[in-house]
Order: sequence, then structure tokens, then C-alpha cells
Amino acid sequence: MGPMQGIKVVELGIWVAGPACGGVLADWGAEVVKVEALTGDPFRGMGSFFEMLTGRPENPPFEMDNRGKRSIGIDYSTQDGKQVLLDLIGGADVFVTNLRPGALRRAGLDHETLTELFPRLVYASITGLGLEGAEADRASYDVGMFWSRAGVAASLAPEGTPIPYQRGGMGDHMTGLTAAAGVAASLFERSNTGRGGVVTTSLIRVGSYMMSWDLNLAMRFGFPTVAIDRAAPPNPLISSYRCADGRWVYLLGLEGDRHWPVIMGALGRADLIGDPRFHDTFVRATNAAELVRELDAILATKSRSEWAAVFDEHDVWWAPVNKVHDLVDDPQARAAGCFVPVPAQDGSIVEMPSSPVTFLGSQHLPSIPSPEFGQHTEEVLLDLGYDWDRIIALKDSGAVN
Amino acid sequence: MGPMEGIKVVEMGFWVAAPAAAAILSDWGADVIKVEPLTGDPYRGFRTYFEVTIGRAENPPFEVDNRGKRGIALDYTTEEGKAILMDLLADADVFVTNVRRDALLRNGLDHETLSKRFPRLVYACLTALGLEGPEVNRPGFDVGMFWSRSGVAASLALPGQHVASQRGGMGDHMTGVAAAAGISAALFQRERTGKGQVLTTALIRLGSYMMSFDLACAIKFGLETVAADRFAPANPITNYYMAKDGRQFVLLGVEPDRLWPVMLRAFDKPEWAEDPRYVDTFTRAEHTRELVAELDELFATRTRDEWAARFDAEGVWWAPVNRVDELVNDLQAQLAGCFVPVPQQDGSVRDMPATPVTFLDYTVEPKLPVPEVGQHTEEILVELGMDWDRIIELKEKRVIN
Repeated sequence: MGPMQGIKVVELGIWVAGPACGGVLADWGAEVVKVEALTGDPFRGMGSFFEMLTGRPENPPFEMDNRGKRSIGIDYSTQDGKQVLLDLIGGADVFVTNLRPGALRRAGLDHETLTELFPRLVYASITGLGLEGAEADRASYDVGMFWSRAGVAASLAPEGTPIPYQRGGMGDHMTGLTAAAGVAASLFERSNTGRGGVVTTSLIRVGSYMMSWDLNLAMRFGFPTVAIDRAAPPNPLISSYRCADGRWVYLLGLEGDRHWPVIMGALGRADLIGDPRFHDTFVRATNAAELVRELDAILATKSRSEWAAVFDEHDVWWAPVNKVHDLVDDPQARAAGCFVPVPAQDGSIVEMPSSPVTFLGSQHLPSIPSPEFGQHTEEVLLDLGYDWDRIIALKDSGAVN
Repeated sequence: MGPMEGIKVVEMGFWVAAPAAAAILSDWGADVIKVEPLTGDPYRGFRTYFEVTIGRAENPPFEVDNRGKRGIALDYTTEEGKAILMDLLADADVFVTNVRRDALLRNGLDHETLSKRFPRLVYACLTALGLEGPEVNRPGFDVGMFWSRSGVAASLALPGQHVASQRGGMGDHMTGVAAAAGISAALFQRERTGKGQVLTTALIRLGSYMMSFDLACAIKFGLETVAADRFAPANPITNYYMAKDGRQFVLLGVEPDRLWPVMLRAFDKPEWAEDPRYVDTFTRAEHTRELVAELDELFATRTRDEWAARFDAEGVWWAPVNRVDELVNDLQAQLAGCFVPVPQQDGSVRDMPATPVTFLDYTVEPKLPVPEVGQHTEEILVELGMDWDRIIELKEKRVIN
């Protein structure tokens, strides 16, 4: 039984951020109904891309964010369809959406309207750029407002080098998680006040919070955020190095003066510990390029697994620079709970990435697969108390699928 | 009134992740006590760095994650110090820590012990690599276990290139959000069950969840994550470009067939509509290198502001690629709530980066400045009912500061 057991969530989400929020709440035991327009969540369209790529009509990223939900297809631009949606929301504890504020207003699904209709409702609004201001309705996407506009990307690219391409959904997942945090806090508050409310986050908020270290340096000292040049980083003891087999390690000598003698001992270069070019944090920063050249030459003499053994023996702090797929075979990633078993449509069990919190006192596993579009329309309407005549009439009129 | 009003949080955190979780709860109205060893949170050490390098004894990154808290300094490795910590916990709703498992066990502060002793306590355990497994005590840091080990960094670097250096606290802040989410959910559940519980998250969990789009593909298809090359991306109209003035932007042609005709109007390139190389998503992917080269040439003819005006007039989806410091003057970032006023030790108020959630019926306003080490030790002990003789005795024994 997860912490959200018994909580009903209506998600009107497209692509990743809204569905990720619903997905986290479903992982925590909430009963989530995914409302899709009759054309379906556009994220489903990636299925044909993966089919082209792999010959398999599957969509793992979509499945990961939508497992454990039921789906209903509603044309909420019709009066009947909208009534269905309002009936659903009226019976729910939480409404999650990442549609643009203007579209929600046009549909009469904005937070002012819904919280007035349903005072106990927790309304979670996920946007690109907030609810106010001239740009509130600008088309977003995490690669735009999180990665690019909030300064994440530029702070990773040294001057004159191309901006790194964001991988799919990075900012959206962080934003969905953030919204889930706000929803949980609002539900907690509601259990004391009896009132719901509006909780909101945005791609730019999550990006700027992720970069808050640099952002506050910019605000306080006027520091421009300049990406670190690997050839001369401010602290060469916390940087990446290439081993003899082409694999990389990241040294974690953040507390430089503590780690310096340990690292150099492990590397077999105790002779450099007292070297006046390198003996403390400040001279290491001044002579960083020289030190990186020394370290590059040393690290290139052994394979990563050889260095791993040396580092662990000497208590050097380090991490492997992995590719994402390396995680699949990483026993510690498994022990840390990075994967979760999920039932598939054919009754088998597949593994998927887990959402990032484990509750030791209330474990919950996804109990239903990622839904086909509108797979549960009838069931959800029956749950609402609609009779079959009404359901058939709604289907005939095209208000639901 | 914030959603966490009346909730008492004891934080035993170092560096960023746990302090960030507690700071979020503080922003949401909780009363947070930061417990530090007599030497202080090592994160405070950055003040010396800024003092030496720029002559200002300030620590903006530390302040983001520690505003709004009270501080007590005690030596919990002594019996008397530990007794104070137990008194604090007996009165608390939440305990947040990112101290390593072996140190918690050594001091009898592990979750098994504390949750047995305080059944209503919500115990949030932030780790690098989880609570189990052979590497559970490995030292973390986000640049190690989030950025490097989870595959974030490698998925951004082109084959043969070294990875980008993570900026400070990126993974830690997101791990703090995950913990705040879990704590809120556990408090909500406690309202219904009367029982606290242990929840846990980890740097590797945040990294793998942030990369879950790619990780899901790796699990299902065995696909390796290969960084996209901006000179030849699969979709050249979702890509980063530079304008004449050197400023960059990202085109958001995520739904390309719909947006390509719109772009051609803004680009003033009607002839491309007929060009068989660019006629649809597939041909553009096939000729991506040529199209990127043509677009590079085209965008070099006008400044970013000029392009922005054209894009907005035609409805092209795009975003600026900002440096972090450019956010400070971004009006929409202000309206989206990216900044929050925080009182200072000298009574003035200054803006800092905000945590990423807004509750519309509650304005986040940290009430307290960033505490000095043990600034509130005496005040807190008096609240616990300790008399002054005892407080003085403990100070003299160096159990407290």
C-alpha cells in the first residue's frame, strides 16, 4: 500500500512532464485516470519512430511514464465530453495538467474555475514559463525552457564548443517529480484544513533551481557562468580522466587538501605531494593545466578496472563515467532500486526505470500496464455511475472513444 | 500559511542534497533545525574560497540551501551530544540526513534504530547508492553518482569527446526535491495511519530517473545511448543555432511536419517547401548535415533579437540558449517565480533563487537568514527545557558550541 493509496488523480497530460507527475503518484499507490483527447497523447506517436528503428511497435519512454494508469478518451471540446471530464474531476482528489494555460482557459479547465467548482481539489499546474506574464502561453518543451532558457546547456559547453543536445525528457521528469512533491504537500495540508488549492511549477523553475548554485553566484557576485574547461579546471582533483582502455573515471576530490595526498599516493606519485606547483588548493588552481597533463599521463597507464581496484584500496573517491545502458547491468543500481517490475499488456512482467523515491513502510508496485489509448473508457464511466445507455450515447456522439 | 506549517524538521545534512530537502520544507513553512558538528557543515568552507579568491567572505551556494533554518552545533559522537539529538528527534516530525550509512550505524542514528524509537518519525535517508548492496558506503557526490555513474554526462558527449563537467549541485538539488516529495507523501500517509516511516532516495536514483527515457529504451531494446551531434541531428529543426551576434537559440520543431511550413515563412525560404531533400521528416533526417549547414548560414545573417521577432510573428517555437546569469534579467523568469526575497543577518533583504514549487494561496518568504554554525544552540536547548548551568557545562565540555 503506497502513501497515495485511495487518492484519485485525473491527469490531463501530454508528452512527459504532466504524465511523469501522474506516473510518480501512480507509483505511490494513487489511482490515476489519464484523460486523452480523441487523437491520443502525442507522445504515443513515438511508437512509430521506435517501430522504424527496431521493427518493434513499442514505446518504452511512453510506457515508463504511463504505467499503472487507466486511460479514457474524451473530446472535452464538446459539451457532453466536458461534462464527463467535470464528473471525473468532481470525484477526484487531484487534477494534474501540463496543457498550456490559454488552452485550459479556453476549455474552462483553468485553475480559477476548477478550484471554485471543487474546493477540495488539489490542482497541479505544470507549465513552461509560469502562469503569468506575456510569455506564459509560449510553446515550451524541456529542451527549450529547462535546458536552453534556464541556462543548463550553456553552463556545460565551454566557449566556442557546441551546446550539448539534451536527451529526451530530462527536464520534464524533474518537473513532473517536482509537481508530485507539491501535490503531496498540498494533500498533507488538505488533511488539516479540508481545503485543496493550486500548486504550480514550471520547466524554467526547475532549470533555475537545478542551477541555483551558479544562479546565486550570478545574483550576488555578478559572476557569469562559464563552463569548466577540462584542460584547466578550477580543481583538477574533481574532473574526468581517460584510462588506458578508453573508459573514463571521474575523480571526486572535492575537498582538495584532504584528498590530494591520498590520490597521489594511490597513483604512485607521492613525490608530487609536496611539489610547490600543486601542494594546496590555490596553487593547484593556478597550475591546473600542468596538473591535468600529469594526471592524464598517469591515468592513461592502466585500464579502468585496474584503477578501480587501486582507488578502492587507497580510499580514493571516484565514480565510473557510465553510459546509460551500463546501468542495466550495474548490481548497485539494482540494489539502489533503479528498476521496478511492471505488468505488460500480455500478462508478462517487464522491468522499467523506477521513480526516485522508495517508501520502506509502504511499498507499492505498479499493478496495471501502460494503457492503450482509451482502453478503460467504459470502465471509468461505469465507475462514475454512468449507465450503458448513456455510455453508448456518448460514444455515438463522439464525446468519448 | 505554508503546507508544512507546524512541522518540525531536524536536518543532519552535509553539502547539498539533504540541506536542499530541508530548505524546501522550510520554504513551505516547516520549522527546520540544522544540526552540525562543532566544525560545521563542510559546505561552509566555500566562504574561505570566495574570501581568498574575490575578497568577499560570503557563500551564496550555501545560503540557497540553508536560509530559513536555525542552527545547533553539537558533537553527537559523545553520549551527551547524542542525548540532545535524541531530545530534538523526540519532538520532531521529520529527520533528514545524507550522512553515510556506516557513520549513521556507528552513532546509532540509522533508520532501523530511530524509527523503532520514534514510531511517528518520518525518516528521510538520502544516499549516493541506496541502503543496500556492496557499494552502499562508497562516498558519493552528485558529480560522481548522478552525473557520471548514472550516464547523464556520457549521454551528452559526442563519441570520442570527454564529458562535460557538472556544475555545482545539479544532481543534489534534484535529489533534495525527490526527498521533499517523499517526506510530504509520508506525512500525508501519517495523517491516515498515525505512523511515520522511512523513505529513501539516492543520487543514482535521480540520475537514472532523469535519464529514464533512454534507460527504458536500453532495457527494452538494448539500445545504446549515443549523444546527438548538432551538425547532424536526427531532426535538424529541433537543434541549437547561433545568430549573427553570437547569441544562440534552440528551434523546437518537435512536431516537425506541423512546424516546418511555419518555419519556412519565418526563414523566408519558400523554395525549401519544394526541395525534395527537405520535404518531410525522413528526407530532412537523411539530409540533416546539409540542412544544418544551410541553416547555420541563414541564421548568421541576423541577430537573435531579429530572429526572435520573426519567429514570434510567424509562430515558430523556439527558446533562447541563456547563460545562467542571463536569467537574472529575464522578466518571465521573475514572473515564473524563479526568485525569492530572503532576510539577511544584517536585517536587509535580498533575492535568491527560489525552490521550484509555488502554492498559490501561500507566498514563500523565508523568515530567517542563513544561520552561522550553532547560532541558535542556546535558544534551542532552552526550548528543550535545559537550564543554563547545564548549557554552560556542555559548552565547557565541548559537547555543544
